[in-house]
Amino acid sequence: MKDKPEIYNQDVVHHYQNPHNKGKLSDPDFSVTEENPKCGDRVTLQIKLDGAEISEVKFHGHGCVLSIGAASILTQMIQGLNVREALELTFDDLVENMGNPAKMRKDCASLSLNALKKALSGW
Amino acid sequence: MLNVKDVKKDFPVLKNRDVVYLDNAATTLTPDSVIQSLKNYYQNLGTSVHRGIYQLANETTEKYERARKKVADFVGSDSPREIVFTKNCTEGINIIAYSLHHWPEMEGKILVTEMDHHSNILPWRFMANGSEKFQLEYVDVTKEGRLDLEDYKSKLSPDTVAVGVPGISNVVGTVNPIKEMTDLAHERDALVVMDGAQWLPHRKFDISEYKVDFLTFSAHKMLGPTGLGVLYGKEDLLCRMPPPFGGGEMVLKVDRRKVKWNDPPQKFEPGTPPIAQIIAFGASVDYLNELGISEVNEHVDRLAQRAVNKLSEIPYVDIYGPKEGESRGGLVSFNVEGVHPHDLATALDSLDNIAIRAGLHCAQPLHEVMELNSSARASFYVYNAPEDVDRFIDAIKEAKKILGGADER
Ligand SMILES: Cc1ncc(COP(=O)(O)O)c(C=O)c1O
Repeated sequence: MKDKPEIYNQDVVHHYQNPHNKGKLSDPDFSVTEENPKCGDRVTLQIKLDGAEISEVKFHGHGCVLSIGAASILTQMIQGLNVREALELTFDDLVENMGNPAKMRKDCASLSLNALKKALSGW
Repeated sequence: MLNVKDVKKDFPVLKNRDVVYLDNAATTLTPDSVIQSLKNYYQNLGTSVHRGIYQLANETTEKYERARKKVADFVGSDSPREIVFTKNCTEGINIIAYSLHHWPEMEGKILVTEMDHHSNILPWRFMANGSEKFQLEYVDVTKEGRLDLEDYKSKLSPDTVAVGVPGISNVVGTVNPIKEMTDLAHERDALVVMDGAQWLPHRKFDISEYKVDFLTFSAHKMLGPTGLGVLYGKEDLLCRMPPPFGGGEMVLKVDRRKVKWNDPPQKFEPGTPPIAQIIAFGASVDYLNELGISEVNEHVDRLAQRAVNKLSEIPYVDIYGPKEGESRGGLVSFNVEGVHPHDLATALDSLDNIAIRAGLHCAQPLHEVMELNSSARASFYVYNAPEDVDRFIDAIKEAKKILGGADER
């Protein structure tokens, strides 16, 4: 076996093990569920707006380190952004915080980002 | 017994890449002799089949038809006319479903199983949807991952047109009782379509023993080239079935209104076939025959059993499907508590270049029945050694140390 290879960026693993903003909002303005049919992962993203600003965000679901880690990271990234700024976020912005395997497994890592785009496209 | 050291030398990928390849149920690696056969076609033959009047085309045609004969022999058919070449196993099942659906007398129930691969479910569903002709039903799978034969018997009604069943499940590895199921189906005049994708690579199959009406499999899962599959059909059925695709070489006579189909297999093979791949698949069959299919079977089963035994000793691992014996094929699906299968696959790859499969394995209904979001799968073949299983087990333990411990999500 190789000596201590880094499987995932340690921050991502930390987010997976201690996810931020995990849970449900009682009265969300938007709630979108995205699923990856190849592996069964599922993430629901819920957003509450104050005017055009994202005032509250939570997610729940099940999945791998990348899909759950990304969801946790993403909720932190978008908290307090206005809708236009959130819509401009790209996959590369997210990957910057996640390291290389995220790129290899784009389907996993982009689950919550896709939910975000779908949710806000209805704004 | 197989000499794995010698076998390994025949596989260039294993020399060129540092990999413990345990994703054989998806696709197998290619031996030198098959690569040489592909190369030989492009370097020394290069022509089409059946149409040329010249020497070179005759030689290609002869090699091409010899490969068909090898495949017929491999499944125990005495007529190469029963061997139709397709794009893959999936296409074979689509051809059968379409054909039966367009055959006027065929009307009634189609039975498939909850453990079928999507490729033996969706073609039937496409035909059943929006049509009165076919109604689709599923045979139940037990918690242990076996077919519920009582359920099968009760659903096998006199109006059943066809039964679709995997010889071996690509998820739980169950070897299904094909002979018994076929006898029961034939008592009610139902046809049996066996998905042989996971059977043919490492288990002896003889049509005179199992008596299924149709059998499909993929070359790339048994040392052959990609882009090629086989549809075996009983000759009288192939003669009477309407073909789904039209084109060159599949007709004897065409005027502007009427056509007279060619005989099988050409009737189902319109257009120019994958010639190089078919000839090279003959070399794959030769290779398997030289190793001996019962030796292959024994070797692969022993590796799978070793994996099952070692995984069973790990308290945080759940294994799916029958635990041992005759009824298990050469693969094992499982989950590691607290580690998502995708993460496990990534971890095994990073830790020790071990390639396994993770996800739903194109068998979502089965995962639904087993109440699983997904699973990890290791599958074995001729070039895998017992040490590969051991490295796989060690890497699982290491991955659990690094990634485990997260609460259930
Ligand atoms: C049981 C089973 N049936 C069908 C298939 C489909 O094979 P292919 O993708 O080569 O058509 C597979 C493999 O993926 C399989 O495991």
